This record gives sequence, structure tokens and C-alpha cells, in this order.
Amino acid sequence: MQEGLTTLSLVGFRIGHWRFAVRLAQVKTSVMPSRVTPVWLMPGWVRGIISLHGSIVCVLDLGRLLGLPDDTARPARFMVLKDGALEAAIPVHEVFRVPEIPVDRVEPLPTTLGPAQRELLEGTINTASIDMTARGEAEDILTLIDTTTLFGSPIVRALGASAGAVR
Amino acid sequence: MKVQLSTLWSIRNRILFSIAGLLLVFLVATLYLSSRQLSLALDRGDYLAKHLERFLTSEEYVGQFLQGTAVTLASDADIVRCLAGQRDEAARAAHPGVAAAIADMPGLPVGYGPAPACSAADRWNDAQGKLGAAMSPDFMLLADWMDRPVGAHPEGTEAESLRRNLFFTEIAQGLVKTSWVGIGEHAYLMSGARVTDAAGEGVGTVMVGISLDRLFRDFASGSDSKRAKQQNVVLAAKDEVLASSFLASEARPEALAAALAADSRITVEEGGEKIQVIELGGLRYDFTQRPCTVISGDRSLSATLFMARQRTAFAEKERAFAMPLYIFGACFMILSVLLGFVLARSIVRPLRGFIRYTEEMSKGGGDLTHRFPVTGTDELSTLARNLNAMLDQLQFLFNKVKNASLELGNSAAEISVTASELHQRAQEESLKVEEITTAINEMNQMIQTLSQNAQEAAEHARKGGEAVSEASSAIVDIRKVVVDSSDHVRTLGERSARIGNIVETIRQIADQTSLLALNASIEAAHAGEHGKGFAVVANEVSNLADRVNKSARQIEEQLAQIRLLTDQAVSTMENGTRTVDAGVVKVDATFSGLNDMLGLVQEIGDREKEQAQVSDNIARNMEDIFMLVREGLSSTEQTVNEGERLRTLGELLLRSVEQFKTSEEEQPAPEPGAKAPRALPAPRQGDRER
Repeated sequence: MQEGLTTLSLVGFRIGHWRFAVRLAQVKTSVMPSRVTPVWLMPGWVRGIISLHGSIVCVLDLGRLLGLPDDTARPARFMVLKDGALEAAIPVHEVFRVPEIPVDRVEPLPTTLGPAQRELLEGTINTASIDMTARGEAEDILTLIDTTTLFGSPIVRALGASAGAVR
Repeated sequence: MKVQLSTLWSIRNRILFSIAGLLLVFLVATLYLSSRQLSLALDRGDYLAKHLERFLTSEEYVGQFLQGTAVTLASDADIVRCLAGQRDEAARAAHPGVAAAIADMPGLPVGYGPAPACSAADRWNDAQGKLGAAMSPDFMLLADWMDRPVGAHPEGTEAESLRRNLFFTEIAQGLVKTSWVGIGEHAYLMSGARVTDAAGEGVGTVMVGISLDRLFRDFASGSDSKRAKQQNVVLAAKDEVLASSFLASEARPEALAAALAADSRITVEEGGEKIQVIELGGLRYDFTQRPCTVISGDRSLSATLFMARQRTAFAEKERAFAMPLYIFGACFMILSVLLGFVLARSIVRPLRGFIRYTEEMSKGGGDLTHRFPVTGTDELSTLARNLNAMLDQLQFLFNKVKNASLELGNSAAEISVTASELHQRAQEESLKVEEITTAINEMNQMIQTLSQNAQEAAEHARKGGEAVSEASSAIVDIRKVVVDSSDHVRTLGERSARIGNIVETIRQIADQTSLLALNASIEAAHAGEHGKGFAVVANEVSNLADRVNKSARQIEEQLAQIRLLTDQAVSTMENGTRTVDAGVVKVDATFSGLNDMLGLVQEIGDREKEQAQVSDNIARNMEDIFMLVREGLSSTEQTVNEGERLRTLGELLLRSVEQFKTSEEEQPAPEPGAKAPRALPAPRQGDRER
């Protein structure tokens, strides 16, 4: 979270019925899905690797990581997130724009969430009063993801320590 | 019938003439054949001339043979050498000095030296012996250079006499020839040749001959085995017989010469021709003669060669043959005339019965019960049998005619009655026919009207048919239009599908654009404050992409709607086409029904027309019938009159037929008209009722 900013420039994406938002600055690019090469002895939420402009990028299944129910629909985009030198591609079913949102609109995660999910997410945004182009099942709620938090979570970090594949 | 009777008489004459004619032909043929035999006999002169030619030909061959023999002997080397030797010896003896001088000459050619001892006489005798054994010539002579005979030679052939002989002198001069030559008492067929030495000088002469007496006799005996039929050859010159085939016992030479003399020949007549014959020893000879030449002594004589043959007995007995022929001919003639007369009589007599009866019949009113007696199976009996059969037929016929004429009279009377009844009825019929005619005329007019109506109905039906036909073609056109529209709508569906594809592409582009806009936004965010403007643009682009996406979705929805609607339209049109097809079938059926109806109406019209014609014809025919009934009226009147006339004719016919007797108990009695009919047929009441 950048200090001094009153608004947040976000981009939204949908996985199954779940909608997420991430800061534009934490997105490297968005690409059309390409063939994923599975990697042996990886956990289930790691789909494999892809080549992005000549670099190897790990593909993480965010839904599975968060323990969401499996959605077999074909992904529409790969969102490539970054945190410094670390990069990871997340298959999403839809990408949509999110208007500038005041920082104070970011609310803390609900207490009902388990610790495993808590360490991966940043907060939630209620978009009931915001003009949105795409709305899912949980129409008014966007789950905000912070890449620093995500990549810094112990489970992902464990992966990075064990394999060194996530940059 | 009279013509046949007149020709009957000529049958006898014909038979007579036939037999006499046949006899005449026989006689003429016999006479012709005998005269032909005679003419064969007349050819005897030619016959002998032919044999004389034959003799001369064979004599010529013998002459050639003799000539060959003479030449062969004359060229015998031994004879030539011996004769030359003898001549040279004689020369040396006559001139010893010359001979010694020649003998001393060196290189003297052969033949000029002294000859070795050689006897020409021995050599000749040897040759004569061999030749005599082979062909036994009657005359063989070899003379040396002084014409002296060498070796054996015939008598009277001394050098002097030989030199006087013309034939010998010709031979000695080198001529080779064959002639008839008289030497001494005999005549020969003689040939000869000169003997010459190597230098070609004559050293002698050879002559070979055969006695002509022997030659003639051989020919005569070869001509026939019977002496009487042999051809005798005689050579005579100057009333002297030089050679002859007659034996001395048959005729001495003097008698023969006298008989051959021209003045002592006898002329006989045979077949109207005069022929000269020779009479010798009581026998007559036919002969032929030919002039020839004989060398006798120092000259050649003209001689005559005769060929004579004893005459056959036929010509002598000609008279004896002809007389009996004529007598027998005359006898046969008379006999045949008598025979013909008897034959003709036997034929003609039975015919007289026929003639008499037919004469009676020809006068009229004959007896048809008469029958001719039949006795055998000859032609006349057959004639009688046929005439009897004919009379049977005539009798039967006349009886029938008689009965028929009776019936005719009755029938005529009945006809008369019936005809008058018919006349009455015809009058009634005439009235009825008139009524019928009027009724038919009215009916005819009605039928004409009907026919016109039917024609109008046919016209209406035809027009209806045309309208239905047009409707049918219009429905077909509608069907075409519907099918075309269906195709168009289907094409529209296909096109909308293509538009769907295009929209999909647009949507993909919009998606891509959206991605690009997002990425632009991301890049703008990365640029921080500098990228704000760019972020706005990216936002706008993103908005545009969203709108495009939205519009594309709407278009897709619209297209789906269009596809649904076009499918519905196609299905509806297909249903429409099917309905139109069913309509076409129904209209066709209607059209065909209308056509059938039109045909029926036309047929009805035609039938009505025919009916009109028929009724017209009936009307005309009824008028004709009316006329005919009218004519019938007058005819029935005429029939009544004719019936009367027919009855009168029947009476006349009966009277005529009754002139002939047709049964034994009946007498020909005229006046049948006055008599009542004897066998009146049953009255024809049924006919009258009919």
C-alpha cells in the first residue's frame, strides 16, 4: 500500500463467481492464455509454467490457493502480477476496469475467514455505490489482493524457497 | 337333229374311203421302196468305178515297192564292182598297150588297176534267189554295159530285143520309173534302175516286174469270196487283151477281147435308163473303163483298163416282181371295199331306229314312253342307253311341267284375289304413312333444337375448361414464386450466419482492444503521473471496446432472432409450396374433369347432330315410303290384272304339254283349258291370311 495516495487505481478480475481487485502498479501485464507446461512434484495450486516474452513465469491457481470450489471454465486471460522481482501469472475468467476508489473504502477482511486465507488477502471493497461494468455473484464485494502480501505469505514463500521458481 | 341324220349316212362312206386310202398308201409305199431299190441297182456303174480307183491305188503301192527293189539292186556294191571289173577287163583286152601303161603309173587310184576275179552273174543269181524267196517277182533282169543279160534272165531278153524296148532304153539312160510294160507274150508292172560305177558311168541295168495277170487275179479274188460277185480287171489294147483276171476256162482272151469291143456290147433298160453291159459266156457283166498307157516294144500304146462284175438277179426279175404286186393290190382293194361296206352297214342299221324315232319327235307330239332295246356294251348300245335315260328325264320333266301348269292356273287365281286385298290394305297404309311422316317431321324439328342447345353447352364447357387451365397455370406460377422466395429467405439465413461470423470477429477484436486498453492502463499506471493522460485514453479505448463488445452481443442476439425467423419463414414457405402442389393437383383433376365433361357434351352434341340427320333421313324415307305405298297401290292393281293373265297362260301351257304321251293309260287329249284341274293343290288359305 503506497503512502500519500488518496485513491487507488485498481483493475478487477473474476475467477468463477469470485471477484478480485489488484493495484494497477502491481500488474505487469495481461495476456491471452497460452499453453501451460505442468511441473513435476508441485502443489496442486501451481498449474505449471509459461513463457512470457522469453521469461519463465509460474502459473498459480488463485482459486485453489484460496480454497474456492473448482471452476472448469476456460480462462480468458492470464493476469501477470509482480512484486519487485517476483512475478506470477494467475488465470482469470474476466478482467474488468475498476474506477478510482478512495483508500478509505478499503475495508478489513471479514473475521469469518480462516487464517490461511487471511495471510493471502489484503481487504475488501464495497462497490455498491460505484459504477461497475462487470458484476458477479457477490456483486458488491471486491476482494483486494496485495501482491506483496500474497507473495510474502508463508505458503508461497515456502514454494519459492523450495523451488526458487517464483520470481 | 336333221343335220346329224344326214351325217349318219356319210359314216359308211368314210369307212370305205378310209380302208381304200390305207391300201393306196401301202401300195404307194411299196412301189416307192421298190423303185428305190432299183435306183440303188442303177448305181452299180459308180460302184465299180470306185473299186477301179481302189485297185489303181494299191497297184501304185506295189509299183513303188518294185521301184525300191530295183534301186536297191542297182546300188549293190558287189554287182557294181563286178560289172565295172568286167567292163575294164574287156577294155584292157581290147587295148593291151594302154592297159600296161596305166598299170605302170604310180599312185593309180583304186579301180583303175587290174580288177580281182569277180563274177557279176553269180552275184546276180544269188540276189535273184534271195529276192524270189522273199517276194517272187515274175520278171528279173540284169544287163551289163553292152545290154547283155547277166546270169539267169527271162526268155526273149537278148541284147538286141532289149535295145529295141522303149522302157529298157529309158532305164539304161538313167531314168527311174514304173510302168505297165509288155514283153514277149506277157505284160508286167515293171520298174528299173541303171547300175553306175564310182565315176558315175553306167555299167549295167536292173529291171524287176510282176505279172499283171497275177496282180489282177489277186485283186479279183480279194474283192469277194464268191466268184460271181468278184470284180474282174482286164487290160486291153487294140482289140487285144494284154492282161486279165478271167481264167482261161471262163473266157479265152480272144472271146474276151471280142466281148469288150464297143460294138459287141449289149444295151439293157433298167428303171427307165439304158445301160450297156458286156455279155461273156452267157453271163452279163456291168462294167466301168478307164484309159491308160502301156509300153510295148519301142513305143507306148493307148490301152483301156476295164473293171467288170456279174449283174445281180434283181433287175432281171423286175417285171416278175411288179405284176403280182399290182394284181394283189387290186384284189385287196376290192376286198377292202366289200369289208368296209359290211362294216358300215352293221353300224348304220341300228342307227335307223334312232333316226325314225327322232323324226317323229321332230314333227311334234311324240311318244315319251318309247324305249330303245339295249343288247350289248358297244357304242350304239351306250347311245341307246343314254337316249333311254334322256327320255326318262324328259318324261319326268313333262309330267312335272303338266302338274306345275295346273298349279300355276290355281295360283294365278289366288294371286288375283290376294292382290285385290293387298290393294285395299295399301290404301289404308298410305293414310297411316302420311300421319307418321307428319309426326316425324315435328320430331325432327325438336331434335334440331336439342342439337343446337348441346352445341352451346359444349361451348360453355370449353370456356370453363380454358378458365381452369389459366387458373392452373397461375397456381403453378405462384408455386414458382413461393419456391423462389423460400430460396431467397434461405439465402438470407445463410448470409445472417456469415454476419454472425463477422460479429464474432468484431467481438474478438473488441476483446483484443480491451486487453490492449487494459495493458495500456497498466503501462500508464506504471508511468505514474506522466501516464495519466495516456490512462485516460486507455480508459476511453477500453470503454469503446466494451461498447463494441456490447453492440456485438446485441447484434448476435438480433442475428439469432433473424435465424429463428428465417427458419420459421422457410418452413412456412415449404408448407405453402406443398399446399400449392396439392392445389395444382386438384386444379389438374378439375381441368381433366372439365375436359371429360366437355368431351361428353361435344359427343352429346355430335350424337344430337347425327340424330338430327337420322331423323331427317327418316323423314325423307317416310316420304319415299309414302310414294312407294302409292306406287304399290297401282302395282297391286296391275298384279290383279297380271294374275288373270297368268291363269290364262297356265291353261295354254297345260294344253301344249298334254300333246306328249307321258304315261301308258293316257292319250294325248287337247283342250286342257276347258278341263277342270285333275290334281288341284290344297288352297293356300294360310298365304291369304298372311
